[in-house]
Order: sequence, then C-alpha cells, then structure tokens
Amino acid sequence: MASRTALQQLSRRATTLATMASPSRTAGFSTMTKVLHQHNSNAASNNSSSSSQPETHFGFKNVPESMKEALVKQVFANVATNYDIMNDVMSGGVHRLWKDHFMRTLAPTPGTKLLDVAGGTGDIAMRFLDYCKETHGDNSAQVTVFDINPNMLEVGKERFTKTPYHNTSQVSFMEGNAENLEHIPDNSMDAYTIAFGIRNCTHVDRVLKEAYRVLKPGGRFMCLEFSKVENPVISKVYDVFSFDVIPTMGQIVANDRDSYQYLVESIRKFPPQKEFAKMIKDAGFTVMGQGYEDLTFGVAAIHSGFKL
Amino acid sequence: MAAIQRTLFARQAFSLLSRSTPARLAPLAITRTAATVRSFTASASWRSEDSAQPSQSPQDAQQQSAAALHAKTTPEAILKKALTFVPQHGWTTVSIAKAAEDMGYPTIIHGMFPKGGADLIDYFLQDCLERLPLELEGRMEGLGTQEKIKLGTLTRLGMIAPYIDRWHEALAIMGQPSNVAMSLNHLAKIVDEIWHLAGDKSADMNWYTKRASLAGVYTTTELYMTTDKTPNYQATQKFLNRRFEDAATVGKVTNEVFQIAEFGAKSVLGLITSKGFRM
Repeated sequence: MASRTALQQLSRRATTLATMASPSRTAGFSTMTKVLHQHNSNAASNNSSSSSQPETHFGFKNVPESMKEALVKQVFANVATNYDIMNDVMSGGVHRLWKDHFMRTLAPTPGTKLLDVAGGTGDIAMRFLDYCKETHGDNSAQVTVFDINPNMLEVGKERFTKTPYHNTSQVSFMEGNAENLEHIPDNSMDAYTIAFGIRNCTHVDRVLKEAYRVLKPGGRFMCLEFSKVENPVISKVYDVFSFDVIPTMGQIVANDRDSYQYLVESIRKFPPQKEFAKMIKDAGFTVMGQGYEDLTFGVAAIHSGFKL
Repeated sequence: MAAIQRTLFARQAFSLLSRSTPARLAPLAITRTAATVRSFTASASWRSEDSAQPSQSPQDAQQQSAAALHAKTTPEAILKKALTFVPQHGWTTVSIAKAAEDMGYPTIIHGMFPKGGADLIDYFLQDCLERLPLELEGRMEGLGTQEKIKLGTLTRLGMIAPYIDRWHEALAIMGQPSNVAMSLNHLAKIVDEIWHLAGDKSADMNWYTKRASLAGVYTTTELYMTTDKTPNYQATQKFLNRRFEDAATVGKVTNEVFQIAEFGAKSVLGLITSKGFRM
C-alpha cells in the first residue's frame, strides 16, 4: 500500500516536473562536463601537467581529484529538490524501508547525540528523532545534520519546519566537508551515520578517520550505502535496471539523465561489502562479526563499527 | 523375491542390535578438555576469540569487572557489568545500557549486542559453564556416580540463585524460536560437563542416553526452582532426588520394553521361516 501511494506521488510529480523542466539545471551539469572535456583535451596536449595530478573516479570517468568535489556538488545541486523522487526511482521506493531498518538497527537510546553526515534532506535525522520520541518518550536526543551541499541543507531545513523539532535544540544544521570535520571537537558524538553519501566522497579513508575522531569511545559508526549484489541472477536484473531503466526514468522525471548516470556508475565504483568493512577496520573501528548486513540481496548494505 | 530381500535386511538389522559392540556406536568426541568446551560453536560475534585465556576464579573475575577500556574483551566486560543490573532491570537491553553508562561508555554501545537480553543470557550461561569445574574442584572425592551427578546439578543450579527472581524471564527468552538454538546448545554443554566431571567414560549409546536423561532432569528442576521459596532451596533438592528416581525407573522400563520387542521380532521371524521361506 505504501508503494502504491509512493507510485502515485511519483507519477503526479513526474507530470508537474516534465512541464516545468528547467534548462538551467541540466545546462549546469553539461557545462561542468564541457569544462571537464576541455581540461582533458588540455591535459592531452600538455602531458607533463596531467601526469602530476592524482586522478579518481567520477562514475566510470576518471577525473582529477580536485575536480570531483565540484562535480559531485553540481550533481546534488541539480537533484536537491527532487531528492525523494530520485531515491524512489533508484530503489523503487524501498529506500524508505531501508532507512527505517537502519534506524531500528541503530536503536538510539535517550539523550543520544547523533552526527548525520551527508544527511542534507534530513531523512535519517527525522527518523532518529521520531524513534527516540516514540520508543523512549525522549526529547533530549540531538542530531546535527551535516552536508557539503547548501541546497540539500535548505531542503532539509524546510522539511524540519513542518515538524515539532523546528526551533528546538534537537536539530541543528552544519555545512562542511565530511573529510574535514574541523568544527566538531574530538570525542564528542555518540553516533555517526552516513546514508547514501559516502560513495560520493573523494577520499573515503579520510571520512572514516574523521568519523573515528569525532566519536566518543564506545560510539557507533553506521553507514547505509548501495553495495554489491553477489547473486549472479539478481545481479543481471539489477544491472539492466541500473543502466537502462534508471537514467531513462531520470530523463523523464527530472530531465537530468547525466546526474542519474553518474549516480548509477558511482555505485559500481564503490568497494564491495567486505572491502569496505576492512576499510572501516583500518580506520580503527572495532567491527562485530562480518561488519555489515546486506539489504535486498546486497543492493544496499549497512556497515557498522564501534570506536573501542 | 523382493519380500525375501526385505526380510533378509530386517534380520540383519536385528542381529546387529542384539550383538551391538561399543565400537560401532561410539560417539565421535571421546576425549574432552576445558578448552574444547570453550571452543564449541562460538557463534556470537562479541565472544572473545582468544580461547587461551587463563581461567579465573569467580572472586578474581568479579574483582576484574569494569576493567580496561581498551581490553580485547570489552564487550564481555560490559555484559559482566550488566549482570549486576539484572535483578533490577531484567534480562534486557536496559541492563546492558545501564552497565555501559556505568563504565563510561555511551549507551548506544548496546548495538554491539543485537539480540539484547538473549546475548546477556548467552554470556551468563557461558560464564556458569566455565565456573562449574572450578566450583566442583575437590568436592567430588569419594562420592558415588549418582551422588556426583546430584552435586554437579545442584552446584550448577545454585549459580542461578542470585538472579532467581528474574530467571523465569530468562527461560521465556530462551524459549523464543530465534534463541532456541542457543539455549539448547547451552543445555547440551551443561549436561555434558556435569557427566564429564562425574567421571563418565562411556563410549557407546549410553553416552547419549545419560546426557538426554540428565537434560530432562535438569530442565524440570530449573523450572521448579523458580517457584521455590523454601530456605536453601530444600524443596528443589527433594524435587531433584525424586527426578533421579524417576530417571532410574524409566531406564529400567525402557530396557525391558526393548527386550520384549526384540523377543517379539525374533518370534515373528521364526514363524516366517517355519512357513517355508528359506533365509
């Protein structure tokens, strides 16, 4: 039933969006890629300068590290207002179930201080505060919503104005880069969550190190992210859905094929479950058991570690 | 033709049973050590992998609770502390959270124990198992086997005494389908340990029947103990004695029933042979 209303919402929003497809958003992304192509052709002609710049992946393309942040920023500036729609398209509405399960796994206790990184639109933060209120009758839980993208934070702030948490000390918003949480003191947070954000970060190991730094001893790191589907049959279906269906739907729903293409490619580039669990261990976290839990055959996975 | 083959097979089966030698039915695990006990299916992720830990006396262990922050067995230290909160808060995540808070950790650390109360009970049962040989050391001299078993069972039951008011909750949690595997595993280990400490060296079907009968005695007595309000659990001791008598009677009766069944089967085979079917 929830999926049906989600679908209805989707189709309603799709028609309104199709009629007001703004050229500026897509123009922004394609301008960026033009700049990128320019840079690449310059680099091709000046071999010496290109070889000194470290490269990283941006979807299936390779880009200089310094540019990835700006490119990702552009993607999310484009999708900020339709972030819900985007998530519904990419996961068939199941992302809501994943996030609910994520919060139940975290099972916050009264008075927990949470740092929700890359949580711009506030999905996780809202679930966190609702969980504390409904399960423990607690109003002392606090969440800091942290995001690199001001557009996403704006959407989040607007969402929170409609909740009872608006203008309370329970929620605060901070803009910054997950690789450098300089304004957050050491050993200050009970829990750190990052949902569908870490694969967009340029240096995942730095993000993990910063997470380790800001957590109190005994604090919990939890990450919800798209991951690798092991089962070969489902993997084939998933690949077809990812590369053929999602960008097309992105074009129809939000008139932005390229952003969706990037997002789908970035999932493939992110390390698989076991490798990411090892990265979490390398950052210093104590990992219980395997360190991860697959959701929907591995389409998404919850990784968890404790600072001990 | 098929009928003859069937009766041939049946005859072979019965002859096997009547001449069964210990070697044919010997269980796989004959030699046992305390280390083997500890290394049995350590499936819970918070269990310390280090099976070479030196065993401590209960007094030492209690003094070492709430120990080093960076100890490898920090999860177990939290659970140890959580046991002190059980009489007040029960076998739940609340006890674990309160213990963590007491040790200076944020309560969110309870996420290390996704099964909550069941993990706490799992730890407690493991702890009791490891303490049992230590508490029985030197007390088993000069007793008959039956007496040793009784002493072992009573000692093990005595370990529940500090939590007796909340033990029925623990039994209920252990009975939940998701926890049944864990609780049966522990029951098997308990009865195995008690028989082993009583000096059991059987290497045949008796190995299984002895432990099975003790498992029945143990579980019923444990349940009875939760309702026992007599001083020093005297009623439980009497209950236990009656159960041992029952077990002995059941053993005799089962043997007799089996003998009669064997006699009956041999008679039938004799009858078939006399009718002319060559075997």
